[in-house]
Amino acid sequence: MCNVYMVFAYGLLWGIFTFYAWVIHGRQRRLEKELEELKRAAAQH
Amino acid sequence: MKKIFPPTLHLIVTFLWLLLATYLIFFYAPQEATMGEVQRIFYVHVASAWTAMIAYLLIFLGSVGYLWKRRDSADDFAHGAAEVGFVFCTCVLVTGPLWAKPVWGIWWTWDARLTLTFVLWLLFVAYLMLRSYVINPGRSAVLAAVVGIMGFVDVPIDYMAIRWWRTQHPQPVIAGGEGSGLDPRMWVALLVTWGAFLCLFAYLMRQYLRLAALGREVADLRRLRRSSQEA
Repeated sequence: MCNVYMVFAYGLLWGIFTFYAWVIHGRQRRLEKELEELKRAAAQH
Repeated sequence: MKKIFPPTLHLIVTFLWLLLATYLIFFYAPQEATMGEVQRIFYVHVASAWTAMIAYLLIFLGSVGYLWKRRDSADDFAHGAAEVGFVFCTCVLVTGPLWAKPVWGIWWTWDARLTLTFVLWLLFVAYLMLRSYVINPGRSAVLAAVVGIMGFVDVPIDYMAIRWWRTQHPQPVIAGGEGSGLDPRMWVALLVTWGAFLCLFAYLMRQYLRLAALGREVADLRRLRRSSQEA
């Protein structure tokens, strides 16, 4: 059940997808924050 | 779509589907006679490769749609497919050598299938680099669409490579004609894994499309702010 190449392959796969999900989530949060700031600035004007 | 199948539910379904696929790969599918346990890489390797090819097909369709109708939604669709497809194609290139080393004794060889898959990965990279380096959004979308359409030539050749040329990569076990085939339980594990990967692909695409919509909203507000400051 425990082949080192197989464990490494599945581990890397999990790592790649988790990293990408984290990156895309971070980009969304940054944009949401910027959008809020822009809306607030527009409302003040 | 958002009301019928909200993103949170989509994420839960994807997670459960991936869990089922993991169970089938490790506990349901039989052990391959000659390669042993390491052959279980096959399920994620092939499922990632098929998903990456479908991603490039979506780039192609999105690019044709954009050049034809000039709709931003078609461009976002192609761009999203490129980004998520790049992730899946990277998975193919990571799992392939990890399977090749114990079975072939080498990490990599420049045979037709491997080289063409590497070219596919480079096409994803080229598309994404073009998107980031060309600042003008309209120009960037047109140039990327041209790359998306021209690069699609690689996909059918990559798919057919193991049928046309007998090289290091194994001959097809799926749709490979007489003498090829899989154990029915392996088939089930492979199809369930591919389904789970397609579900994950769709979820990541939705997240990208939301990101693109946010980006457009921010760009519009920035433009509005700049014009009001100038006036």
